[in-house]
Amino acid sequence: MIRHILSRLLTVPITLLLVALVAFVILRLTGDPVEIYLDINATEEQRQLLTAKLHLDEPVLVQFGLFLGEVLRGDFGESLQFGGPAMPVVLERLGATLQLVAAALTLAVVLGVIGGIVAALRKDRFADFAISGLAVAGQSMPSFWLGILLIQLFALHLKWLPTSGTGGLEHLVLPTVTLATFLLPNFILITRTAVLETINELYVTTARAKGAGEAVVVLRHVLPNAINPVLSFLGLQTGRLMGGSIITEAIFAWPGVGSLMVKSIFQRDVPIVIAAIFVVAVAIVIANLIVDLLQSAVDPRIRLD
Amino acid sequence: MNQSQATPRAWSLMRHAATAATAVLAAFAAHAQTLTVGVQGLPDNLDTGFSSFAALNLAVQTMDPLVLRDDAGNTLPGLAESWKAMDALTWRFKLRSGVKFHDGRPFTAEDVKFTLDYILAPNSTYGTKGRISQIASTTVIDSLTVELKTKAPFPTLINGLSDIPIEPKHYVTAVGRAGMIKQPMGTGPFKFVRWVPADRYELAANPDYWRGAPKVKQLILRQIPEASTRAASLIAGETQIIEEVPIDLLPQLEKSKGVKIESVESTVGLILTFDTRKPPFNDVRVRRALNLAVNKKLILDQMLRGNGTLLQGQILTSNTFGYNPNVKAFSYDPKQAKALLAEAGHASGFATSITTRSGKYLSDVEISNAISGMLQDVGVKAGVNVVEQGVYSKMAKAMDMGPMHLVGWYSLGDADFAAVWFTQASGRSFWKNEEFEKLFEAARSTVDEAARLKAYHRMMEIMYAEVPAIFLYGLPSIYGVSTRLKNFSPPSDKLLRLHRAELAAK
Repeated sequence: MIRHILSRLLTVPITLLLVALVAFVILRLTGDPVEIYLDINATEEQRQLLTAKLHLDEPVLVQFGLFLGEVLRGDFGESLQFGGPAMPVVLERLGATLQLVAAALTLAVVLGVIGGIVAALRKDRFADFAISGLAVAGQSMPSFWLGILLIQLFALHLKWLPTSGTGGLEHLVLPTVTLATFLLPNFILITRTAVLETINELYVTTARAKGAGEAVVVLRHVLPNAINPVLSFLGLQTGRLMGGSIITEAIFAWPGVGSLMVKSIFQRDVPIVIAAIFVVAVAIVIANLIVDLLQSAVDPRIRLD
Repeated sequence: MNQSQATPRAWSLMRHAATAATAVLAAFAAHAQTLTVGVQGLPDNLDTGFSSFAALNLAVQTMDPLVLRDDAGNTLPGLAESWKAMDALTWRFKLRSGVKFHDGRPFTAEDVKFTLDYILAPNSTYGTKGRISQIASTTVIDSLTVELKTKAPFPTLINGLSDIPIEPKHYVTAVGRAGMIKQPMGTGPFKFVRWVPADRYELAANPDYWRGAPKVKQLILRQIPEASTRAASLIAGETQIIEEVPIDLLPQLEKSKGVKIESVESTVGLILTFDTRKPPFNDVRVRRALNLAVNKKLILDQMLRGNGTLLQGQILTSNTFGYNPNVKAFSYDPKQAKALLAEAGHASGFATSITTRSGKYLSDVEISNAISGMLQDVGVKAGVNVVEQGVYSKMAKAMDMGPMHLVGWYSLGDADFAAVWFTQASGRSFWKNEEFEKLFEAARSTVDEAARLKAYHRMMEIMYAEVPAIFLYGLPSIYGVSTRLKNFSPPSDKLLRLHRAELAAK
């Protein structure tokens, strides 16, 4: 177990290095931060100062080496936009994103598993068609469009919820629903398939034959055996969810890492982009580790070493 | 005895109750106290010298410049009461007396010198430094008089100073630059309260503001990047002003109750610039033909829904110093365009392309597509090449923008700022004209307004004759505002002036 965790953690730096290299090179090759950052009326000295400060007069790989050296010393560099160290800016925004992602993930998993079980138990009946139909519809609905529809309905027509921004819990509702809808259909369909596969196993039939109630059959015998594919999927989706939060944050003016990253990419603010990538990558790795541990706890056949 | 004591006490109680009731009523009935503005983006840094216009928009809420601008773009006295050119290189500013910073300390000439010296220091990267870079020195004559020396005659000094908010010397010296960025302070209409990055910027009214205390008690600028959400926040009453309303949202806002659209001509002239170094656009007949082939009025009415103005055969908008009223827009005449193209040897047309960014200017891609369609009618096949900002700036730097590119130049009210992009000194102009260059230099080297105006008028004539670009529109700034809002007018320079804005109760 511990060996498994360690080997997982060992792959992290390599992943991060590759991701950072690709991001750095692409950002440097596609735009000059000096041109983007400085005012159009900027003087030549201003341009030269900034060029020297960012080592833009060196070849890209040398720039990356210099940057990496600083990162290894824990310094992600100074952000151009923020005029300060990059990492604290990212961490400051992380809270808002984690709040949104955690709420959306919880909603998607709970509704997804319940919906999937119901659909499987009522296979080929009305409830199944309704739930599976909604899932397919939800999957084909772009988050962007859904978010705007939700605002129109709940903020403008019904006036139940605020359109956007931060504040109380009511501000969290619409972005959470939007982001959850992004994942929910997958959870429903995967749970449905997994439950359908399990429900005809002999041990389920045995449990039924022993006279166990439907609730006991589902919760004690079917669910633990069906949940593993859902868990692996959960691990895989953390990254997608972080990606999805970029759009959701933009629609609902949610001050998280996603919107920060998009803006920084347009500004060619490399330190922020890479610090954000590091944080997101670490979050994904941790999420997958937790999923691994959960899976081995649920299914003793899965041994981590 | 008892009675005579009780009466005044009861009387005083009643009086207190009445006062309290009046106060409560006044607070509820007369005016709402908080004005919330939905902005497209807040800067990520409260540094006054941060380069974007969004940062300046925040800075001018807490700080005043020496010279103010009004919403129409005219300059007027700010922290400087008056100014005078002593000779071609010397300007004397008489400062306003009795102005206080938010901490109660008086504003003096020392603050002006401190601010200008900081901005003009050789290693400074202050965003709007270029607007005043010709200042050679700042001298304090007395506590309310400052003298500026310029390196050369600098006619745009006054206009330039309107983008330079004055900082409090005593405060910045005490708390340091970092302290000033964390907690900005100045003489402005609003006091800084709180900043939540990427979310909101909160300000409170400065009751001692020298132009009169603001009518609202609290001002909040909320960042809402997505335009349709911004519009929804206005309709829902969460915001009372929203900026940067895209054209496709106008119908929804126009239909909504309690909301109106306010639009004003900005000083941005949108043009389609030719690469005049290469064929076919090295031939002036071809350039003129393309100007005649585009039905600008139709695009203005259809794509901008009538917001904005037609450029009159020149890059300057009509609100700019130097605008030539005798130069008129090219007519829409596809027949003559075809004839001109045939004369230039392109009877069967040619293929070319338009480079544009997406979302940089109002409906930029849609306008490019419409122009491409109209050019097709005279046989010119123009593909539309949409590039991202980073790529665009690389192309600009390499002077390789493709045959035509869509660009908007700010004049900020003075021809100098827009005309410079057609001189060789800017490093951005494909087109080259000796007389134009000479006139530009002459107009920039004199403080004689009449002589400058004459030079700019001639320069606009030259551009009309030489057509280095298709002259399109003076872009509008479009705001959505609540009908409860009084005394607000949309600013042509996008800097919000809200010290007089009033919000009627719901």
